Amino acid sequence: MNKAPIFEIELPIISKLISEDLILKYAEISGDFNLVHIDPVFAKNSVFGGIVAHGMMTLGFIYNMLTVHFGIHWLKTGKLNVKFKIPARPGDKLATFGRIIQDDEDQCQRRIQCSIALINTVTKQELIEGTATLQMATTRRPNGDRSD
Amino acid sequence: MDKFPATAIVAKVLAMALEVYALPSGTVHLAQQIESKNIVEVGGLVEVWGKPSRSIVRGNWRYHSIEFIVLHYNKTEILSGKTTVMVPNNE
Repeated sequence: MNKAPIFEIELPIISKLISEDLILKYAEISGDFNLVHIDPVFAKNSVFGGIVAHGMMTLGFIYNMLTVHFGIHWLKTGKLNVKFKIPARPGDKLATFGRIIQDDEDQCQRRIQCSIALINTVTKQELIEGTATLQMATTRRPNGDRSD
Repeated sequence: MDKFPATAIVAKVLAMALEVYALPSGTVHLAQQIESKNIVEVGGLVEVWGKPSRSIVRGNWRYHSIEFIVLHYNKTEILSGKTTVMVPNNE
């Protein structure tokens, strides 16, 4: 295995402002009408104490970041493993975070691992944290040189 | 043709799981694993197979894990994953 730092270490930041309207639209598109997302009274009496965004919606921002950076390689081989630590709420300003933490390459394949997160840009709290991995064809030539 | 994002497919799977497993409002999404194998285009027909893989009770909450696989209509695997949720235990 050899280090092959083709890509920038930091992945592009995707920023989003969460709104009740966005959450409602996501509920309609996904079909997830859990009342913690759409009913202010139910949500207030829930463990969350108010309306929260769907976890999958917020995970979509991270997925978008990975797609922007890695393109088809991410779409075809990507693996995500995340924990939802804190829910996003209407009014929250969020930003994705991604960093390549491992980039290994042999004669056949290249394996990239990233640390990923979704951050509340005001409180600096981490809403989602986890890892993403993907594979792609090697950039190494038969003589061992890299093509990049 | 536009590609359909894996997270959108998993969001649908989660909505189906809430219904199929009668998970009540107040269910909390704790963790998610997704492994992409192929791309599906917008308009593509897929089928989903899922099974509960774990269920434990802690205090006032039940923890469930659901493993699933999404196939294209031609049986090509699109993605697989595992969803972990926390459900209010009212029993």
